Amino acid sequence: MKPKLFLHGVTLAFGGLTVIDSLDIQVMPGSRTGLIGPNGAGKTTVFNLISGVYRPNAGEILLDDEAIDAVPLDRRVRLGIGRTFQNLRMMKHLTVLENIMLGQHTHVGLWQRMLVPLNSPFNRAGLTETRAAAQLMGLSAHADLLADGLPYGVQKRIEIARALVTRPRLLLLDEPAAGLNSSERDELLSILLTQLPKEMSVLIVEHDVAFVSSLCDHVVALNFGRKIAEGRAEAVCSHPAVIEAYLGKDDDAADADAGVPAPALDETIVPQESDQKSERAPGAERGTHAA
Amino acid sequence: MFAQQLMNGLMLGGIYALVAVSFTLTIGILNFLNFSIPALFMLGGVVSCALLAAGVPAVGAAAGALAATGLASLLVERCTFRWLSTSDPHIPLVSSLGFLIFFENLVLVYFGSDAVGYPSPFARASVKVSDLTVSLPQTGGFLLALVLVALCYVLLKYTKLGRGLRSIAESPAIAEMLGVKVGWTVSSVYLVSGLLAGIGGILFGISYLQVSWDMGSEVALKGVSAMVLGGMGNVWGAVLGALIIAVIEVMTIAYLNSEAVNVFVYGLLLVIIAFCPRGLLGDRVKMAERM
Amino acid sequence: MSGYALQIGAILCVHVIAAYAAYMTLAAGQLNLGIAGFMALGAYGSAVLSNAGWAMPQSIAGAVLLASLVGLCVSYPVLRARGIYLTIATLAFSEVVVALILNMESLGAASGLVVVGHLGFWPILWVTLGVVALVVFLASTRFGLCLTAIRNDAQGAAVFGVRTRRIEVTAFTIGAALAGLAGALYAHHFSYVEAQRFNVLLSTYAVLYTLLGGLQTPLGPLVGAALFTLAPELLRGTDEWRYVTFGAVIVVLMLLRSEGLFTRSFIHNLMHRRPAT
Repeated sequence: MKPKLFLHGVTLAFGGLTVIDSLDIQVMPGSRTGLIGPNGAGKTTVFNLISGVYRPNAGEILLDDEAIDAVPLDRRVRLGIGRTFQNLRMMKHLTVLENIMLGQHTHVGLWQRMLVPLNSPFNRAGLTETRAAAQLMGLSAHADLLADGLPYGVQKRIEIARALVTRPRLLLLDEPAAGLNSSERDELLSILLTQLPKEMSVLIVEHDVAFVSSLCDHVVALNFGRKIAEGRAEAVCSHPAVIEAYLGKDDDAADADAGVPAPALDETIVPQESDQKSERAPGAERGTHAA
Repeated sequence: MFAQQLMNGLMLGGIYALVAVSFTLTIGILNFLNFSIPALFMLGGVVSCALLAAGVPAVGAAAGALAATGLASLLVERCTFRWLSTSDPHIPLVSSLGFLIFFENLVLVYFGSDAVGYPSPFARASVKVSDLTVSLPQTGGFLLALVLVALCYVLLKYTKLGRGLRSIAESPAIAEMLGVKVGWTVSSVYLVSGLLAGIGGILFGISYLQVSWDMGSEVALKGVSAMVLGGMGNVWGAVLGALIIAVIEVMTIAYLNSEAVNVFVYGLLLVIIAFCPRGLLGDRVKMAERM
Repeated sequence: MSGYALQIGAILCVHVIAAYAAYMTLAAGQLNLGIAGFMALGAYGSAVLSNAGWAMPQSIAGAVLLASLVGLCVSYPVLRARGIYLTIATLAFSEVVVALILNMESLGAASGLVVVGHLGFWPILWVTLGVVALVVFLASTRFGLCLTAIRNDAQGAAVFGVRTRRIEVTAFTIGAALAGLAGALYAHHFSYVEAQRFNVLLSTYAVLYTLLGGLQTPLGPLVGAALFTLAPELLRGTDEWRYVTFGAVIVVLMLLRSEGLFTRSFIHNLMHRRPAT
């Protein structure tokens, strides 16, 4: 089977600093793929590469076997790539509903954009879809409030609703569960498990290992912009290189994702048999591929 | 004839340079286009004029005028940067426009709308060098302007205050963490910037022997153009731009007519912004980021 | 209504349209200080066409077309710049237009131009109401949504497929057209145009009305322009102090209500009349 998304030897450098180093990632159609790694491993950078915020210095990004590197940022969503942001990007002067509606932009014709008021009957289809997405994410009560100032968890869910109405075939979720309390988290997990269309391919950056293992059939671990492990969630999480990446004392790595507020590392990522790491020389496993 | 015009242009350029540097300080360090600078320039001229007319000796009049502009500048700082640095970038700009309107009309009320003769203690002292008429107060003013700009440069480049300023230009939050007293440092930017504009106003009075409530606007527009031409945020660029603009202005008036001045000055500015927005001496990397 | 009141009314209408011209670019987050230049284009364009024998509606339409075409052409180089650069570029454009007019003997140069045909208050009012309706309508569409999104976070909007450059060019061009309309109406109301009138101060006031009224709703510029055109008239007793007061009010207002007078939450509270939670 051909992969939905294929990052092939992708390299990105800022100045002299290599942030992503010849990275290969495959997302199979209809799969739920997790992307894990310590802060600064380059996870959000991978998302920014896929959604066109950055262009790779080398390698290519294939979507359905076609290179999309030349496609500018504002056309990627047309290819069926929807995403959320780790550091929320709410439009603070728009209501919740309007924020979600922004996601429909590419599904609306030019004349309709200019000539149809959002609240008119001619926009009924758009409104219905938006309200459905809002309801799915449990946002109905907030629908007409300005997004600015709503609790973090609510804004997080607006992000996901907004990504869903782009009708993505490839959905990129950047830490969807970060900052949610445990009941919100469970609710989100069940929505993602049951409500997403089966044929939708999903790539998720997440620290919560339980969340990733419940949702993902495939996990890729990154450190210093390189793939250090890949495979089923349990296997990857217990992989020595992954454990070392999380527990190693490479504090300087945190600079790579500059500008992105670093969320607290979820300790659950570290499996019980963590004493393994002491037997390995630092960096010995870097770049090896498990499974 | 040509040499005489060239000299007149350079003398005018000295005054433009002070205003341009005044603008470039707040833009380069705080990224804030301070529209109250024309008012501070005008206050320097008008207050010193009023004090001289009241019989205050020259030194006292200059000191009084500078005290007035310095206080006014700090008042502007209180109501723009200090309170509003976190919000929409247009807001401090609007506040500074408010101050421009406030100060100009305040002077209009007390001073009337007509230009007033400036009782300069130096009057029209001049010497003849072959067939050039060299105005002594203008030449003194020009040299003073250059010395002040050089002092500004030294202040920015080699002092503790300058290092603090440059770190604020990079990021106020990081500067704060590094122990820079941001509030105090920002105040000193306003103070220096305001004093430069005020001195420019006094020199304008001494050189052209008249002041009025709206003397700031034209000069400030030329100062802004000079700053962009030279490269925003670059002190010597502002001086270079000011000299070029002033020479163009004087030459156009001498050889064409006064109505054509703005066509050339602003036409040049437009071309520079469209094709070479960093100006002649602009900091290439930083300006690209700022845009 | 007295002649004086009608005169004030006409000026108010011109201010309102000019404020909407500033609003169009400001709504997308860019400060355009070239309003006066486009008003000059509109005023002189309409004056020349009228004086050449065109009927008034046609000449006003022609002037608006001229302003929007120039706006479209200028917007591409100007919108390459951002922030302060864009502001200064538009300001320079405006000064160039005025300076060119001042150098053209055929346009009367510094002595101005007498305009054939007088436009009274009422037609100006209807046109102004039309402009308000148009902008309110545009703001209620996805185009308006995109403007706000670009103002809040241009890159974030682009991620959802918004072609930010196109939207900005469209907004700039509509703004230029509105400014041209304001200039044309002005020319026909006073039957006389003078290039010196179209100075930076005029652009500045248009921007001030808009920002003081608030960018969050399309009614902000109307509120701002109405309040700050009429208030000085009501303060006529304190004649020479009114602009001093105006300056102070701007400063205080920006300290207290930096989002402008007329915000979405203000309307929300007004309509729901309950304490904010």
